[in-house]
Amino acid sequence: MTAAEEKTSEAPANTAEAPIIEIKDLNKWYDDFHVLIDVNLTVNRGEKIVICGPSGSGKSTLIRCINRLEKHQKGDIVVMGHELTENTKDVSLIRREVGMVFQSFNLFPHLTILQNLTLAPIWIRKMSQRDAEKIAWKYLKRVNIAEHALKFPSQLSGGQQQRAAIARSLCMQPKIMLFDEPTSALDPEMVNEVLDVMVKLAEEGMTMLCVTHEMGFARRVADQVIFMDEGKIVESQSPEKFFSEPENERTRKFLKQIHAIS
Amino acid sequence: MNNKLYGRIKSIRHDYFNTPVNAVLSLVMIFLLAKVAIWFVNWAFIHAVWTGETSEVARPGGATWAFIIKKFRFFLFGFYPKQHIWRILVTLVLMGASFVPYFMKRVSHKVLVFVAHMVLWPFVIGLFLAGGLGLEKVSTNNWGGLTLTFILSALGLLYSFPIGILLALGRRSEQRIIRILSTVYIEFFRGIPLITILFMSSVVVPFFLPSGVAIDKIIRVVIGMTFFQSAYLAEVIRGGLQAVPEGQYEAADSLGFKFGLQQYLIIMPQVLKITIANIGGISISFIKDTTLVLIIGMFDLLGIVKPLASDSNWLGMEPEGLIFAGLVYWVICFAISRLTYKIEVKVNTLPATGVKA
Repeated sequence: MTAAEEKTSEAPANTAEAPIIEIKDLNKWYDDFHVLIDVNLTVNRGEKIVICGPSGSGKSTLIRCINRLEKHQKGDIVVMGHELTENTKDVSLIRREVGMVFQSFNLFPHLTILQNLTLAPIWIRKMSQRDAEKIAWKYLKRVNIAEHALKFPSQLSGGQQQRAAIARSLCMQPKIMLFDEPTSALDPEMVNEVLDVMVKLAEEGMTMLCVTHEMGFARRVADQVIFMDEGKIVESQSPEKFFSEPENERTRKFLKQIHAIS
Repeated sequence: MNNKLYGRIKSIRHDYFNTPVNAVLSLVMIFLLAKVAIWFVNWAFIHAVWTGETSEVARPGGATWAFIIKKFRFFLFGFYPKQHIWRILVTLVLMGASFVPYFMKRVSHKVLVFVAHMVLWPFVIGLFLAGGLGLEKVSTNNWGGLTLTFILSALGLLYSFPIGILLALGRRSEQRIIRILSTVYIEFFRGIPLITILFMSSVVVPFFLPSGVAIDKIIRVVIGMTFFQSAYLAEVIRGGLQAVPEGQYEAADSLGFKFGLQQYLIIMPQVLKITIANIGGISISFIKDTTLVLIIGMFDLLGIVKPLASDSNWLGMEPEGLIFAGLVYWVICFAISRLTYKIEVKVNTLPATGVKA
């Protein structure tokens, strides 16, 4: 256990210059359905990547492969120097370094917000309750829900729950944050409070991969915008180029549709 | 107040006396109910006899509660020797006291308390009730009455819980062999009557034990009941597991929780909340099922009525005995029902979040 832990804690130092995530020729099937086809992606430390595309294009599946919520069948995924394979021990070690925020928040309903935040630091990071609570309060203040710390998730609005969920991930002090459509389940008036938290996080230098259709957010923080369709990365560009002169016909069509909606 | 009363009278008239036929039916029913109630009050209270030494004090049309009062010790403790009854009381006090840690804030891992119960209860029961370490032995054949009912129920529930949880998890396991074994176990024990299991444990099992090895009947019965009960609990818990959204597992995974801690800290607390009403119901039926041991010659609270009413001084006292036993079962089961309802109200104020997208 300790040897393995050292391995992960050393990993960032060893890979300081190497990409934090490297995905090579990734292929994934659900039975006969080919969800991801030869996906290649390199993410450097501190990079912010926004992934968009029509529903069913495989974008959520892609980021869920990065913390192995989904298993891939072909290709390599290397996260912080560790290759993701059938070795489950490594997987839970990687997962504690990779935070994830879900569309449906997935807070633990039987625990208060504060307990939601301290659960993993106490049990996984083996922190004392005091230290864990200190960190929890820090992030609760940062996402502006400190006054709700002792409430249960069901007593909070969707926006507040999602901010709590972000804080819960941050309490593990992850090196990478994955966002899987974090604002799609929210009422429109709550989208911005969540995006503001994400922008702040981006400005602090967190490595982020966001599946989202919030193009304003992409423009503002992304280093790279990826458009996926039918399991493939169709286009990968800087936001300036992506929005002003997209190369691919499908990207243009998609952007038009998005603009038509918003 | 008057308005309310008036409204109620009006609704009764509307619901039960709205047509001539309904009115007649209602009157007949009221008459019959009143008749039964009056007869029962007469029998149980007005013509009842509360004191006396033999059934000769009985009055026609009245209950002879003197029988219950005279035999009260046997209803509670069976044929346990009188001079040793303090040992039963010590056992009950110790078992009761062992619940205290559940309510202590300092004890953060209640599951360890539960494990301690699983280990210590049999020792306490074995030491004080059966005797040992200098205490005179009392054969389990003398155990009976409410004490026996309590011991069978408590031990049966205690062990069937963890086994039920494991079976429920096993039935949902990704390992095919574990899944099949769990399913076969559950379906097998749900498919045969409890009486069969009790007969097997009392008659067939000793036959197959190697000579010289004797396992006490009580132990065999508790094991058999645990097998039976855990299969039912497993299905209730499996239902609760299915009600926990997939997102809860994913959130726990993504924070780095592995299976065991994930179940302990995140999934099971939610499952127990969801299933509390069903678990209460199953506990009630389990307690009532323990009465079946009278078939294999054990004298639990119900089974002891017959030998007591065979006392030549108290012949023909079965009705009083059965009604008394029934009343005690009802009080116990009603208390559990209210308790689970209270717990349910307390925990269900927190609906689950995180709808699976």
